[in-house]
Amino acid sequence: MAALAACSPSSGGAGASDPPGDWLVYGDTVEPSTLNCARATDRAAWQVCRLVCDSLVDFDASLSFVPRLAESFSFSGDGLTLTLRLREGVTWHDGRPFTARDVLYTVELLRALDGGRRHQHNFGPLASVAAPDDRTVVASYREPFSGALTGWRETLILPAHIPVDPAASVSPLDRAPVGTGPFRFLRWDPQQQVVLEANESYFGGPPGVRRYVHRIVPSLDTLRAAAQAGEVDVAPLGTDWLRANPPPHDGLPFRVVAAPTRYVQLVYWNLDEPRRLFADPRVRRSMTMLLDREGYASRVHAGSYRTALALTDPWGGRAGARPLPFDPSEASRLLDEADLVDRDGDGVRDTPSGPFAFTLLYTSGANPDFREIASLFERQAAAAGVKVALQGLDWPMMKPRVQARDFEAAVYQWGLEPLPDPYPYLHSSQIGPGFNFGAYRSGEVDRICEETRRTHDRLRVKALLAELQGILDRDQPHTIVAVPGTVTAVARRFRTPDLTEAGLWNWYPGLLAWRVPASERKHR
Amino acid sequence: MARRILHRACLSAATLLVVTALVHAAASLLPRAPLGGDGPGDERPITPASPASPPPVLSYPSWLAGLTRLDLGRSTAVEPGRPVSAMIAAALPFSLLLGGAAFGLSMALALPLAAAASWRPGSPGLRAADALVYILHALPVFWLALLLQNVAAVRLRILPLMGAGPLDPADQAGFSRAAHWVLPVAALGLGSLAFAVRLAGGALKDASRARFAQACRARGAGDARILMTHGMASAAVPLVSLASMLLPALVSGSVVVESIFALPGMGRLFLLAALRRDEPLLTSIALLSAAATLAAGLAAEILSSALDPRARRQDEASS
Repeated sequence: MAALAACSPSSGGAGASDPPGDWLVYGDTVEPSTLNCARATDRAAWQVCRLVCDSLVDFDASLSFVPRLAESFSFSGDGLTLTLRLREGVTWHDGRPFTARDVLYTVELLRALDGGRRHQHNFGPLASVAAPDDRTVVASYREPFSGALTGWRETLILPAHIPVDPAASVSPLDRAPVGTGPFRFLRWDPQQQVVLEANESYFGGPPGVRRYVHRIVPSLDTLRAAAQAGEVDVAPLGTDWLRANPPPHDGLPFRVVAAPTRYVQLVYWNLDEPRRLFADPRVRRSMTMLLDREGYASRVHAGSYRTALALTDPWGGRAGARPLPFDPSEASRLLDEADLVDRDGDGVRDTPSGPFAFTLLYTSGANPDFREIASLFERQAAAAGVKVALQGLDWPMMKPRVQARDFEAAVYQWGLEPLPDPYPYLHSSQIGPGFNFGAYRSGEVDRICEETRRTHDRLRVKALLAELQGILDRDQPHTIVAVPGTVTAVARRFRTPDLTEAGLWNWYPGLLAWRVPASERKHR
Repeated sequence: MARRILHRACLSAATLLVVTALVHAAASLLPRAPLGGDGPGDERPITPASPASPPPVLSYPSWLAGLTRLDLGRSTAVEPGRPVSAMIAAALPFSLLLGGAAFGLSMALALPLAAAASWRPGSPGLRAADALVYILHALPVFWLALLLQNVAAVRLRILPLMGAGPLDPADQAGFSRAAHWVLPVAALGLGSLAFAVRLAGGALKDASRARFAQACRARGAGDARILMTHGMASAAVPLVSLASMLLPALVSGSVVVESIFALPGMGRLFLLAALRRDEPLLTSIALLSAAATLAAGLAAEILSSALDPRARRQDEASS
């Protein structure tokens, strides 16, 4: 992270003494598909929804839970009951009062929408939710659930007085959301921008900027030029920009802020594929040792990516990890040991049923990372006598193939939750519905995943993650490659909170604390 | 002439029907986009399964029936639930304005250049202009667009970089809005300039060598007069053909220019529909483009017949 810090000079604090003013124009290559918080699934929609609507709890800059619409929250001694006390005097943007009934309505709506998938994701073993009075919500769980607060953070509360019909494909909230959040919806010009204005009566005080404009700029080149021309204030630049424009960045009209993410890039080895190419753990270990992960992170991404040595890396789970090095000769030895040797002298190793050759899928979209990982692996595997054919598919083609486990190997990426929860990625029950696309099955890992979900004890979680990592180091069900970073342009007139692991502003108060000194304001 | 046009109109309608069937079948074969997320890592376990669609043979009649009522269906992925007709109605004016203005710019530059080239061929000034036109033609449109942005918006800061108008609703003065269109119109118009110059130049050169032009010269008419009165009239027919080729592009928009300049037109809408596999939107835009192509061909034929005395005489003789 040292390289990241070097790219993000101090902003000089948030300048809390400056009164609210000015606009913030955020440039995004993607337009939100909806602004209905109950149906938002894409990143752009989620980003806007979180400004218009509120959750009961949120993370602060240190990724600790803090109350938001709730005034306080507490778990019962047995960890089965979560009691949330709501703030008093909060109103919806249309002036109606916010009460516990809105919370119950939202939970029921999520249960009815999309077969209850979001409800299941957010609330897990939730047994019931009750509202003993207008300001109290009591959530009872069938078993302790460590993801309870994360789930409530993911649940943006919707107004009960503007009901959404779960059976209908459209609702009034899709394009004109009403929330309790720090910004109220002003207008949406399709393919151009979504405009929000500050909620002056927000319970946490009005945000530091008077207006938020989510500007849609489909071309990344144009977005970068727009940041230089001052037409957008905040814009993702991409790591290739950083490679072409190394520091110092003093002459630019924006600060370059490099922030960590909770994404993990990896290669799936399909343990269920018919030829059983990757059934032997020695083969999977050799695959990992054939990929120069350090080189990918440092040379390809100018140091703004971090080599991930373990799945649990973004969760601080490096302790006890015994990562495999980039070691082609040891990889070759392991392949020899697994009886994958070149029998016919054609330069390609052979299995008993034919050459050791397979297809590596990757997503050929706007993000070039997946192709870079695939190409790097192809070259390094070829030198060890492993024949890899690359196949790039666009996302609508790739996703069904991976979900159906119709692949041999695939480059992929996970977006991990801030709190550790390996269950969707590794538990054997997640081979169909979750992200266990490589069909990895381990009784030990299942037990750890279940126990991690059941405990609120952070120290116990840490011990479980260390134990899990030991098993993953041994089994190598996937090759974990890197934790990508983001490189973002932020106009110099903004005074922002110090950058933490929580990222630029997706935490509380986050964006609310961004300010522009009166003398530097662009929009009056 | 009326019979010929009627025959051509019937043929166009039949072609359109075949196109609707092909477009619908092709769109039905596309894999459905996963709802939510634009790539790995952005999707969540809550992503709902895409609904299964009936086979194209079964869904085509109801789709066609909806089409006759101008019901193009609702967007499934770009703006889920929004009527496709409303999305097209919102995007079409931007593409018409961009394409129309670019065509106007292109013709406004091409006609004088072509006239000058056929009047005084080989002069040094014209050779330089000719070279410039061909350099512009050789540049990819996206490169020209980025170059214009870099020079005019980033370095000189004399024009807005992108967008269809100012961000501030209070700043909606005509000049502010028009300034946003200068660079995209220039990029698109200059990109097609060489094509227009070549076509118009060829037509005018043919006219200046025609027998009627020699007859006019023999009667003492000057080159300029011949060119402006008879040459332009003679060149009108190929220019109508050129316009008919460009009209469908006005409707379908320019994917490259609209994307680079962040204009909310048909080209961008089509690209989004394709990337997100929005079947109703994709088929509607493809259909609209096909209809525009057929309509433009028909209109060109009618206009050419009206403008060309030989065609008129042929029609009169055949009737």
